[in-house]
Amino acid sequence: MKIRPPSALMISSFRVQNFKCFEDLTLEGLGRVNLIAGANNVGKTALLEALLLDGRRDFAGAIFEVLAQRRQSGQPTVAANVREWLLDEDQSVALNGAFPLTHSLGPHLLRVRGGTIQQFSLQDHLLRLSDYRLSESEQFPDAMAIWQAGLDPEKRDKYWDHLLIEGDQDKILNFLKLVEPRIERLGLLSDGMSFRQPYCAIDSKRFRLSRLGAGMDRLLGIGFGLSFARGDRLLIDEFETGLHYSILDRVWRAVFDTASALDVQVFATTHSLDCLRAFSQVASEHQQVGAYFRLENRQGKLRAVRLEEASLALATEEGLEVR
Amino acid sequence: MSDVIVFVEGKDDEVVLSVLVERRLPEFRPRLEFKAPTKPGAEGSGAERTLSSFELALDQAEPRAHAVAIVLDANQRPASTWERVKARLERGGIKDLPEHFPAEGFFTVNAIGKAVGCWLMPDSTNAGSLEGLLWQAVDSPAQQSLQRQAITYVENVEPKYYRSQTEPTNAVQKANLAAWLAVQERPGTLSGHALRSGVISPNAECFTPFLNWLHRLCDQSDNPTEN
Repeated sequence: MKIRPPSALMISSFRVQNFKCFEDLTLEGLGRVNLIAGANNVGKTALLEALLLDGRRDFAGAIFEVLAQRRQSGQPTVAANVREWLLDEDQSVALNGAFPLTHSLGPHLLRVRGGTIQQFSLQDHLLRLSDYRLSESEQFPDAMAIWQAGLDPEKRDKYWDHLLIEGDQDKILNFLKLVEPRIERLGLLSDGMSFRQPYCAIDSKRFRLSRLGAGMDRLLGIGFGLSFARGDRLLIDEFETGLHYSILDRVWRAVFDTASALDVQVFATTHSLDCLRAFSQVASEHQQVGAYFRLENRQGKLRAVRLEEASLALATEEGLEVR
Repeated sequence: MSDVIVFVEGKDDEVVLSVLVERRLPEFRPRLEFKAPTKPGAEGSGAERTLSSFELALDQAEPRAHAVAIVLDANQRPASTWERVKARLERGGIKDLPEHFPAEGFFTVNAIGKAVGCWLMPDSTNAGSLEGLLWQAVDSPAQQSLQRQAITYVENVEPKYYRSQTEPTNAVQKANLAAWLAVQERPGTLSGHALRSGVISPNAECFTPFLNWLHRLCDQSDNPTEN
C-alpha cells in the first residue's frame, strides 16, 4: 500500500468541459476544504461526479459509481451507459484540461492524471454492469464519494480492516462522539446481513449504530471517507444530511482538522444555510484552508462564484443570501 | 424573496424608506427590501458596513436579486461620499463611472445583468442626510411653527456638541428633527411613525426625485436580463 506524498494530488483549480450540464466551467482558488452551493439542478452533484472521474485512480470504478448513484444503469453494458449518460455525441469531455472521455476513441477512454496518460478499454475493463463488481479493481487509498444515500456498505465492509491497520479507528470514533460522547468502541459485526454492520459500545453495552439515528451514519461515512481518501480527494453530496444544525460547526471543525492531518482535499455540496454558516465560522478559524463556491446560471451561462473567507463571514453576519 | 435590495445605513432609514414606498410606490413594496447593517459597529461606521454589503451584493451575494442599490447620507462633502461608492463599484467590476454624482441618482446595469443604483440623501446634490429630506416634508403651518422653535432651541443650546461632529450638517439636521419630534402630540415620535401618521407628509414633492430613481430601479427588476 503506497501513501502518496503530502498534497501531491491537491488541486488549486478545476475546469470541466462538455460534461453533463457543464459547457465550460472553471473553479479557481480551491482550498483543502471546499463547500459548493447553488440552486436545484444547477449541477452541484454533477460537479462532484466530474471530480470523481478526474480524481479516482480506479477510473472504471468511478464510472460505475457515477452511473449507479444516478441509477442510470438501464443499458446492458457500461460502455453503452457511458455513451448515453456521460458523453455528448459530438463533444469531448475534458476535466482539468485533460482529455478523459470521448466518443472518437471508439472503445477506449483516455485520462491524464498526474502527467501520465491512462488508457482504458471499454471492452476490457468495463464489461457488463453485473460483471464489474467481480473485477476487484478498487484500490485503497483513493478518491471517494459519499452520495446522498450514504456510505456504500460494501465498501465499508471491504475496507474497514484496512483503516484499522492504518490506526484510524480513533479518527472515525471522534466523529461519532460529536453526537454521542459516551461511545467507547466501534466495530463491524456479521449479523446475517449481506455485509457486516457497524456496532458501537456505550457504557459497555453493544448498540447497532443505525439505532442511534441517521446522523451517526453520516458521521461514520464522513470519518470513514476521510480515512479512505487519505492523500486524495473526498466528495460529500449534501453534507448536512441527517445532522442537526447545532453540531454542524463541530463536524466542520473535525473535517478541517482531519483533512489536514490525512492530506485529504474535501469537496462538499449543500443547500443549507445552517451548514453554510457553520462552514463560514470554521473557515474563519482556519485561514487559507476553506473555500466557498456558488454555482449559478447567469444570462444562460453556468459560472462558479467564489467568496473569500471575509466576504462569506460578512454575508452570513448580515444575512445576505449567498447560496 | 425580494428582487430589489436597497442597502441603507441604519434601522431608522430602513423603516422610513419602507413607509415611504408603502405610501408612494405600493406596487413595488412586496419586491423591495431595505436592508440595514445588523452589526453597524463591526467595520467602522454604519456606512462602511453598508458599503461592504452593497459591494458583495453586486456580484457575489444575493444571486436572485435583479437590482441592488445603496442609499447613503451625502454628508458634508457629497463628492467624497460618491468617491467612496465609486471605489466599491469599481471593485465590483463596474467601469466608466461619472466623475460627478448625477442629480437624478446613479443607475447602471452590471456585467451579470443586475441593475445597480446609488442615491445620496437628501437630494443627490446637496450636503446632508435623510433627516434633512424629512425636514422638508412638513407642510402644515402648525408643524412648521414647531420646526422654527426646534431650530431656535438647537441654535441656542449649550454646549453645542453637534458643532464638533465630523459631519456638522448631518448633526444639525438630526438635532433639529429630534427636537421637533420630541415635542409632538406623542412626544418622542420616531420619524417612521411621523411619516406613517402624516405629520411628515409622504406626498411631499421633495420625495419625488428619490422615488423616481427608485421607480427606475424597480422597473429594471420587472425586465431582468438574466436567467
